[in-house]
Amino acid sequence: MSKQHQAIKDMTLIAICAAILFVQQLALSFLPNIQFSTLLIVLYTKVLGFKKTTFIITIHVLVVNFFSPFGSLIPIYIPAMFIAWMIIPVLLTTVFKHLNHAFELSLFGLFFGFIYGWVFVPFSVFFLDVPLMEYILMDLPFEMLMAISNFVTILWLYDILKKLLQEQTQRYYLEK
Amino acid sequence: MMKSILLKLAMTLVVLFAAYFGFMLLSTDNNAQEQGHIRLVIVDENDDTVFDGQLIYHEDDTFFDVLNRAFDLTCANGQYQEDPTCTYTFPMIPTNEKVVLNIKGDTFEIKTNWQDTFLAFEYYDGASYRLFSQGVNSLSYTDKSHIRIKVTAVGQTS
Repeated sequence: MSKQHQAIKDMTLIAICAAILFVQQLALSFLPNIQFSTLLIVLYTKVLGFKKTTFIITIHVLVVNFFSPFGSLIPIYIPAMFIAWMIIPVLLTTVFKHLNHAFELSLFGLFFGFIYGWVFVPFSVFFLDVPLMEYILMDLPFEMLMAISNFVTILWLYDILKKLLQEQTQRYYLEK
Repeated sequence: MMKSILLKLAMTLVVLFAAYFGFMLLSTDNNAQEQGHIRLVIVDENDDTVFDGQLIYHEDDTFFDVLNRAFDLTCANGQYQEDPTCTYTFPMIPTNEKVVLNIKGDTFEIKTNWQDTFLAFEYYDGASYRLFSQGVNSLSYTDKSHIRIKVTAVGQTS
């Protein structure tokens, strides 16, 4: 496969994965913080690697913020959201690169639910003047929901989806 | 295979039970335990005090009940448009909440639109006013509590 052909295939795969990430988040947006985003980003990191996942997250953050039918988010939250999602590929390819089992990853997802919320704290407090303690207290139930959602979805779906994505990507790259 | 599924099921149940108790801890019942009165101050967009008086509450009242009895309220519906009937309740966590947009008394009226302005609910801690971390349905108050409602611009510190 030529380098150019490989690049086109990579771009297509990144676009499809970003679209799946965006659509599921939109479809589940009526349920606060219950989504498959963490599961998918963990899956993309483990199967597609750091570089492709970074592109997927970049597209996802831009699309969610600019093209969401529910309106764009506050601009200052764009870097917060990007940093928060990037924690997954950064940690899973460095300090936590040995986490491979669904159980270990689901515990990672459980803690990530809280970390995701905390990344937004300095942006809200310093740029939007939101009171620190009130914000942390109000955000706690939403962090708990995300943590549970991450834990349950990764625990039950990670192994099945990993197998499926690995098979499909292998077939995809073998086809001319 | 069966063992793995049972283990996953057990872990899921443990996390769900832990979460349930977590939410129970967060969702404290802040309805009034007995009859009493509170001091309420209402401040408009120009920082002028338009109301400063005592409101009586009864057993089991939420703060919304106290306000609704004393004033004409306009709440937000699901699309944050004005709803004078105040029937819509937002499915918030851990308790459902109403969003009050306008308050009309005998001698004053304050209006907000949620996009640019909102009503900040604050309590006096003896030295200064501090924002409540609960909504109007679940904010906690006791006899002689001093509460302020202030028209606040979005992004403005209280």
